[in-house]
Amino acid sequence: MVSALLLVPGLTAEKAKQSAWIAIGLASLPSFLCLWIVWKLGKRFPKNTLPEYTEIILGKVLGKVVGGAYILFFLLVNILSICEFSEFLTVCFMPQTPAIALNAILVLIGAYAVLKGIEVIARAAQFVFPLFMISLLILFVSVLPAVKLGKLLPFLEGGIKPVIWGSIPSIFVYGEIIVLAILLPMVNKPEEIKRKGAFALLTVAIFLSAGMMFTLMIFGSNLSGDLLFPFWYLSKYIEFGSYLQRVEGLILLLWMIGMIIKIAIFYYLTCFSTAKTLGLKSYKPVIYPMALIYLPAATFLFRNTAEFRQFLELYWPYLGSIFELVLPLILLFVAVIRKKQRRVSR
Amino acid sequence: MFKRLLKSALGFSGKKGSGKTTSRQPIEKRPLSADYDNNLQTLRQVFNQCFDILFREFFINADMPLRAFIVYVTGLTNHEMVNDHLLKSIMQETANLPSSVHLSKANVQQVIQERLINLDETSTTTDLIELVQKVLEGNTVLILDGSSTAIIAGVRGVEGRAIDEPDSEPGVRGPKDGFVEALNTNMSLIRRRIKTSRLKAETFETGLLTKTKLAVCYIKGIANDKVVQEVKQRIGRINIDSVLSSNQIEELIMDEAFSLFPLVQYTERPDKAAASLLEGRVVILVDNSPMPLIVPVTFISLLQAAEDYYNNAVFATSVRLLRFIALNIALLLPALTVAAFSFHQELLPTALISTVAGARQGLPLPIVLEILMIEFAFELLREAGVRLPKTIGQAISTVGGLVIGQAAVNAGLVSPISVIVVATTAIASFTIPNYAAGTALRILRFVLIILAGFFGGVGIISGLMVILFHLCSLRSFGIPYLSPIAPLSPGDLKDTMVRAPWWAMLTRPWMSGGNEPVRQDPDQGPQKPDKGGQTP
Repeated sequence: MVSALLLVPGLTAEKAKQSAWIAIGLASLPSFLCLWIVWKLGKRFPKNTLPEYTEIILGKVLGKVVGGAYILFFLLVNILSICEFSEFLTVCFMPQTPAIALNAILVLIGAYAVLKGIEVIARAAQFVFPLFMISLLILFVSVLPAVKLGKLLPFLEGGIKPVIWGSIPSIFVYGEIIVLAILLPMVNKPEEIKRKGAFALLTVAIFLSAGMMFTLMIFGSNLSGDLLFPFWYLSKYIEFGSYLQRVEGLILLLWMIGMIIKIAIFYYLTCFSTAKTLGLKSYKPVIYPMALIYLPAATFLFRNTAEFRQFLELYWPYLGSIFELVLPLILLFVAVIRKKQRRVSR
Repeated sequence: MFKRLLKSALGFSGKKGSGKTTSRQPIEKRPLSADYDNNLQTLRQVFNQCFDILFREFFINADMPLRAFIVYVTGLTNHEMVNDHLLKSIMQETANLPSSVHLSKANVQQVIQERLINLDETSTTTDLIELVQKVLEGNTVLILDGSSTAIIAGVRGVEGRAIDEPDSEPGVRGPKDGFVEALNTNMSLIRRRIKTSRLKAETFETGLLTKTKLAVCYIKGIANDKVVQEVKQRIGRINIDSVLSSNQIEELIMDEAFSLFPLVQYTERPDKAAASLLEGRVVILVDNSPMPLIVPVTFISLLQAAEDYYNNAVFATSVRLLRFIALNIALLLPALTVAAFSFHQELLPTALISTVAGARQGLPLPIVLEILMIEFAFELLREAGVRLPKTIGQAISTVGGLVIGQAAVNAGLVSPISVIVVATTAIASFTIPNYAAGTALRILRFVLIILAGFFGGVGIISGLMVILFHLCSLRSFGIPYLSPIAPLSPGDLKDTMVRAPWWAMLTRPWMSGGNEPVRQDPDQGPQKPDKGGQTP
């Protein structure tokens, strides 16, 4: 969600123009499907996580292959998150700090959190969540004076098509609900996850749409598409008289908190699925080797922001939807056909 | 033989080499002998060269005079009681025994204990080791001729501090009594407030040499049984030679070995201890320590002062809010200043940045070092102030105020802004009610300043996130440290950042493990008078 706020508005607005906010809302639809699949799979294998039930469903070899693919996927998601964030920091905030230092910080904090376990990450997220919501609301409220509703018009100018195309890059944002495939057995009340997951998705969709709407209403569609991180400029826009200016720094800091938690979660997922696929008892020995992958990968994978954006725009939607929609769907399908169910975990 | 006896009686196991293993073995029993002289000699040998232990030999008036002696520690005994209720009654009242009772060597022990000693607290023992222990605890022990059973009379009279105002946690409106060193007095201060037999206090003894008494207090049915069990188990595990303060117990029963944050709370206020008991927590009283321990602890409870409950709820809530802001200032303000001045000048309003730039012109040090330097000077002053006698303390504050305040600025070493920042931070840090939590903030503040000096805002957030993850991972006796915020238990939020009025405190905190969740009847809030009942 955090990453969505930073980058997506720009990507989406290029194509969908004034109706970009609808596009963002639309993009959440596939993720509900994803949630449903994950939930169904979770019901079939209440005690197993994704890397475990792929082996049950697809057999040992193929299961390991898919499990390995998911490891790579989580790895990539996390590398992208780290990249994205350090990129953003260097562009907007600390131009002179080398990216590798920022990456190192993010990875180290992630490693520390993973060492403490998923429960700790979840609690930290819970602690931060209200701060996050409040900061967003404050942001929305404080830019209200600058809003011009007219910039949203004409409504659906180019028909529905560009809207749908525009929604594609943001699908992956919501698709991150796939993490539940691994976290589901660790949740205290799994039966509530369907409702809560849907609720969470809806909240994210509403907030993203709202964010997009505000960005559009202030900068207009052309500028929003051109700005690198429109939301950031949105927060820069806040000004209460002459005494309270440039609150964007504080809001940025809050975003950073959210980002760190996201990185920690995916870090955990990578370590966890690696350990499961390799048949290790604990994921803890994997943590530090993983850091050695993350750090150089995040630093050297993309040479600059443009390349990064290109990747997000051209390849990521397809890659993301394979792992977030297609593969889980296949898994569910095979599971139903082969009638694999409720195997008690080893 | 005596040497061995002496060793075991004192709990010693001799020289260091063998000490490690034998000190863990329970001390075996040694029965008293029936021979009077033998007993006397043994005890004299045990208490050899202890000037404060007195032996008094006397005769019991009977048909055939019987010898007897008492042994006690002078400083721990109430001499009047020994004279009036022990010596006098035994030596003189034998004449007034009813004629049916015949005092003889065979029944003397029974008759004396049942008919002559007019004290409420007596017991007997046949074990020499226990006898020695009882003497050292301040009891007077009576040994009779021909009896291998000693009578222990509780006539303790220890000089102690009077119940005084709690110095470390003063209050305006709350009760003004504070815990003292004596365990029994402390227990009475709690018992006075909670008059139910469900308030249990189980005693333990720790410290091979100090034999310090601990009392684990909890309210049965309200306290979480698991927590109580865990406390007892952890205290039972303690095996050290001495316990001189409750902090030793604290460090031995903590969940995490190295955490800056206090996982065990202490208080000097009996009302706070009582309130904690009623919330379902466990209070551990330690003899000779005026600071009982409270477990489990949550981070929020460290920010609460007893006084919050004695003031108007709205006011108390505002004060808590203030304290929370102060917490953030104490932790973050210097670090934020460093980050803003050295990395993110663009975030400061234009007017402010020009003022700051003007003030900082010509200063020799970068802002990080400057703030670190003043913080360091301040910590020096604080430490000096704590250690010095009160009379010299004033001199310190004058010198300190002049040196770090006035002179350093005038000499052009530091900017007035840094001084303001550090001073504000210092004042804010004094608002944290729990001293131990304050020390954690002091250390973390320095860490954050250094991080801010290297990475600016990113460094601060990184530091904060590590702290947050650390806090989330902490548990105090199984209770998550950040509860009730994370994990969230919405019902308990009424007594966290806000302090709900008493009529709204319907349920007990989740900490109690769901025992007796309801605290009081609902609908006790202030109500408007019935319409019919209005006076004309």
